[in-house]
Amino acid sequence: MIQFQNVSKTYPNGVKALKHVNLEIQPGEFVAIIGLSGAGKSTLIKLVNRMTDTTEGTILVNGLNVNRLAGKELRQYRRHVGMVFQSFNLVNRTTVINNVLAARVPDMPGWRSFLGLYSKEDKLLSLEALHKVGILEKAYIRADQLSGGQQQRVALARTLAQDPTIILADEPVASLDPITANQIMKDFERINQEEKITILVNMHHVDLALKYARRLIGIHQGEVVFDGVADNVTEDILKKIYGRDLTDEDIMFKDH
Amino acid sequence: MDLVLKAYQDRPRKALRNLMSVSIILFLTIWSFDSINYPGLFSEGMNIAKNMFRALFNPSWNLLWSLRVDSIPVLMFETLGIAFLGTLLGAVLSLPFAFLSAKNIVGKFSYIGNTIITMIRSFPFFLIALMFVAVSGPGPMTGALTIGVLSIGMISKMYIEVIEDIDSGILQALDAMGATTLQKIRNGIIPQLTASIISVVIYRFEINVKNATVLGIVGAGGIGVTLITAMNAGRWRDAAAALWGIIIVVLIVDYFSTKLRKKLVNG
Amino acid sequence: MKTLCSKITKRWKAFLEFREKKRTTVLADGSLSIRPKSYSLLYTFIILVVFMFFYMTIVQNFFNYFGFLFFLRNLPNFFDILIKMVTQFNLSYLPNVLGPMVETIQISILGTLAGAALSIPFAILASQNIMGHKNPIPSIIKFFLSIIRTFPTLVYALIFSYIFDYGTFIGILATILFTFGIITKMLYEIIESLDLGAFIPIEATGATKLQAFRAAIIPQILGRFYSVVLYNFEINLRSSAILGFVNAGGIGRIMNDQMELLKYGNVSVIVLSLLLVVLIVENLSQYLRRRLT
Ligand SMILES: Nc1ncnc2c1ncn2[C@@H]1O[C@H](COP(=O)(O)OP(=O)(O)OP(=O)(O)O)[C@@H](O)[C@H]1O
Ligand SMILES: [Mg+2]
Repeated sequence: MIQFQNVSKTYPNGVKALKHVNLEIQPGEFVAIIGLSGAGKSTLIKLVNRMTDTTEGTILVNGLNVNRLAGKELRQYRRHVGMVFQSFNLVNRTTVINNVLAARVPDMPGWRSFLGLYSKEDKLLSLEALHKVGILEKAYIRADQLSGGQQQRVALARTLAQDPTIILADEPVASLDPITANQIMKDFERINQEEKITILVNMHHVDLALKYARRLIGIHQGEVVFDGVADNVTEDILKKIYGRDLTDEDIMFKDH
Repeated sequence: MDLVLKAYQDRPRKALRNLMSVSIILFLTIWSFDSINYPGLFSEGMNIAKNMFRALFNPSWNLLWSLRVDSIPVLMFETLGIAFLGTLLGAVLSLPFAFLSAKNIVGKFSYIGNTIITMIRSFPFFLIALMFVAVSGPGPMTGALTIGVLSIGMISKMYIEVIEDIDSGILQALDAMGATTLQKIRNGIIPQLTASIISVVIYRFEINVKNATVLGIVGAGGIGVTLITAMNAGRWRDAAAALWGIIIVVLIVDYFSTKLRKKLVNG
Repeated sequence: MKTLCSKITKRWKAFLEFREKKRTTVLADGSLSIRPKSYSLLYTFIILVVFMFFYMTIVQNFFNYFGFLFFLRNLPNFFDILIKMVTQFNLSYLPNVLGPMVETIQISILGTLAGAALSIPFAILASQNIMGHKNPIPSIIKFFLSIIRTFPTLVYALIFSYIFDYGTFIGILATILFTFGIITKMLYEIIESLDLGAFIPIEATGATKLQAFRAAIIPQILGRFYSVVLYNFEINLRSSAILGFVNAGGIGRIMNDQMELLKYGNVSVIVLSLLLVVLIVENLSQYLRRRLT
């Protein structure tokens, strides 16, 4: 369970990115966070795995106070929280399988990871992860020879190989075309259902969020202005979240 | 019509710039011509040229087709060895220089390392060779050391480009995964660098093979020794054999180097 | 004999099968993943063997012949020279540097310009896309160019030094030849990467290849051509600094002389002024090249 208790975040330059956020996310939920650019979506996600620090309030993950973690404890905590980025963040010049295996590195003895000697279980686990996102046959190809959608799948597989209980995704489909974006979202949906992994995903596109997430959190200028079941979202609510009428840009499939 | 006229008047005026460029180049050319004090041919010059040319098509076959210690294949092997060991030495020595001069690692202090690299690069390599002759005597060892030091300049400059090109996104991803700094270097940085670094080193090896052919002129081993002694003695056919040895080996090295580097970059 | 052969092939096949099996992974739901053959171990092995070979023939031989003590005893000599270059620094030698330095610059300028001018027609002849798809001329020219490029400037200077009397003329000739080899290659690579969209229609209007080249290609490549020439000027300045070692004029001559006279203080004046000139030229050329592209 992820609990935000009165969480605020002020960046060193004075920008108040989040204001008094209270949230409770149950294990196995699929939550989409929507809002305008600059609303604080990335900030909210980054707070969960401490890529950035809270300035006020507490975040509890399964009862663990995330703010207090440091050094080895923090690294161990992060092992349970996977993260997927908009820009994939793969090592282009090496094979897909090596990229996925990187997720096993923190659990290996130092000398083994330094020599790149992965155990059979690690290799199997990584291949299984690739299989789950449907690109097993690309395992031994260099990452830069894949399409954007395939690269994002590799990133997803890398996160799965980490065996996380939570996956955070910061605009994972923003740089993909609509059809590929839909496929990746389906991957997320499947992983959520089959592996019972909690998923927290940032989105720009309202239609995709409504289609795949069961719960929607709307942020406007650092404040949570909506939190509820996706089916209950109305035009008015969207107007509140976006502070204006929806434009084509907010929707991936324009003919919806 | 007005618009057209206006567009015509607003056309970029390059005439002045062009005129200036041309006159600068012209001036430099004329000024440089002043330096040619055509000394004329040696009295024997024309004859020698003729003999050289003839020898080129009839080199000393017995030097080319043998494995005696002073034969061309053996000496070309030695030349390759000088280039190979020298390149490895340079590749290793360049690593600290490059890491200490890359902007994304040492920040604004990069100019210190960069200045040192430029100084090494500008040190005439014959001088380095002559200095090493004092240490390791004449011979291929001197050649390898010289090539090694000589390579630092260019290799580290190219390393720096590679290092400054690192994609830091992967480091963020590894961070989010709970990796330590050492693991981030091993799994995030090294895999990004190896292919480019190997490609740089191969490219430099290609250049060093050419450089190693002339090191013999200062007594630092390799085929150059034969070349210059044969020429000094007027044995043009032996010199021609050495030249052919250089041509063949350099062409082969060029071919494989280009092929390998293409494969490394494209995967 | 026959049985032995079949035995060996059988073993070999079994070995291959074993390797194949090792490369195959079976996943939980029964799907297979086969790792492609990897040669990295073989490559590492080859490099190691080559290294050992050259190490034995060069480094090992050196120590066997001279001994390790010789090396250690003489290592200070190297630093000794460096230290003397600093402590005996002799600025009053500077006036003697100026003449040869100017000569070196002049050799590079003439060599670069003449080599560049010479390279233009040959680059056109070596461009497959301009000469036509099936024309054999480009391949022939490219082959000769790659032979010309195998020799550094110094080898050309060495050869010419037996034909012509001492002086800058040798250096200029050698620089021209070397520059010609490189610039022609760079130029035809640029031309071959061009979009010839405009070339063929202009040729179709009845213009000659040269006229069409003037109208369609030159505007596209001029900036990059200048940039290539400047880059070669930088290279030539460095390499003409050593031409003096084979009596081809320039600063290398006095460098050689002073080195032989063990006047390290003078040598460092020469080196420093060369460094200064190279730095100025490099910065100037990089500034111009940035503006050109
Ligand atoms: N590292 C930082 N330092 C200072 N200010 C920051 C930093 N990161 C974000 N901000 C500011 O915090 C606010 C919220 O940023 P955040 O990245 O969370 O927005 P977002 O909703 O993810 O926007 P987008 O959709 O564009 O990614 C913005 O005003 C941003 O300028
Ligand atoms: Mg964001």
